[in-house]
Amino acid sequence: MNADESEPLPRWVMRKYAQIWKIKRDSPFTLDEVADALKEDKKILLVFLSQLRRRGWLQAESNQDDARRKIYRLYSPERVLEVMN
Amino acid sequence: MKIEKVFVEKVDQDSKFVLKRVVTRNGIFLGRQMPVTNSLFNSERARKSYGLSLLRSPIQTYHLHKDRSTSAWNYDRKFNEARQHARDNNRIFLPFQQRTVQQLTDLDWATSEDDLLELLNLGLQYVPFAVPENATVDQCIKELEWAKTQLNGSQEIVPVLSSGHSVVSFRSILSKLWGKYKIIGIHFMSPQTNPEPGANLRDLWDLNSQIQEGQETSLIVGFNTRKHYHSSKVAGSFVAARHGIDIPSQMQMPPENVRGMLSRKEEFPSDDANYIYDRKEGGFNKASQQIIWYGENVTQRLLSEITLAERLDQFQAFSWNDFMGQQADLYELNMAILEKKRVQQLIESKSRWHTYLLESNKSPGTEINEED
Repeated sequence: MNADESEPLPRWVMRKYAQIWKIKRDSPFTLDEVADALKEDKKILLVFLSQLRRRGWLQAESNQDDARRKIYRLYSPERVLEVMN
Repeated sequence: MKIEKVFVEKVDQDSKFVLKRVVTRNGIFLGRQMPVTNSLFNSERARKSYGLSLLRSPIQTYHLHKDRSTSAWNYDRKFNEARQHARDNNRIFLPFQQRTVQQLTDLDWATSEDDLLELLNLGLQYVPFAVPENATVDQCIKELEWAKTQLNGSQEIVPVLSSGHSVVSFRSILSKLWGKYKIIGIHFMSPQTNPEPGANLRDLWDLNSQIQEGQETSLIVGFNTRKHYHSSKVAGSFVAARHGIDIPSQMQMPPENVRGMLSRKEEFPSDDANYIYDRKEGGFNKASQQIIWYGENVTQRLLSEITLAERLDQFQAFSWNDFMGQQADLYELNMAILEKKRVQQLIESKSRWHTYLLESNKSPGTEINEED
């Protein structure tokens, strides 16, 4: 699913989305960066990012420097709501 | 308090979570209850002298430890006080001989029989009988038949199987016991520790959810559950519930270790050393996380609000809060099962519950990664 097709998020995912949006807006970030900023467990964040991506709230790209890692970018709430409507 | 009947009230067809109803002479209660454990009994004892309210739970457990010098189970004065306290508050009293992993591995029928007889002679209503991890179905049935001949009056046996039991016989033994005993104990080991607990706990979940609504079943007590599991600190009460446990009785520290910990109390002055239960997440967090997530130090607020007013010390205040929060969440889960189709929604509202559910649904040995 991409931003042309979005779904509502589970409550906790929405809450964490709001926390990250406050810090990162639509700038790119890595898993380690958000884990550090939110002091959150990586296992939780992996599920969080997976839920965002599957529901069309997040863009994930391969990291040029390390193929095992990804670079993430949040879609703005306005954009997601627009797509949902 | 004596149980007259345990039956399945409702099975959520999507999630397979089961809600049980327990009928006693004193009334009815739903399954999935936090018990009052040794440490919570200490807190209640402190409050009782000030006439303050106690925890609402129909079950009180007491974990016994072996005396290091004599190797005998420690039935001290506190054990008798706890038993009287349970009686005074109309609770089912369940003692449990808490064994280390090594003691559990070494356990044989002769030792288990001796331990049972000791408890029987104390005149308890419910008497646990530990099943050695390598026991076969036939041995188990034979031993339980023998145990029945030793009972006095209305005493009842509570067979206790280890989740580390040999996978060859765990499911067959459990199937034979299911519904025949009002209470079945599971010495709960984390499904991630080694393959046996994982496979056995999947069987436990499976058998638990196969009983039809209205049919008699057993109340499953998980002894030795942990406060939390994994780096995510998901609540032990949810991990237990996810594997079909109705009553999660948390592992209790031996008294000598508690004394050691209290003497080193000054080493734990920081709020960040303490994890407290967070109902929003369904797990435990600490002050540094709360400040980022909620903009306030919840641990500090809890301590300033609870310790003095409620006559609890710092550690008692944490465990009191943890009990109340987890009990409220288990109650919410019970209610969600009654109101069809809300279970998944409830689990997905809490980060730790949701993540644990996804993880436990995955094939053994596979981890959640960035490709998911």
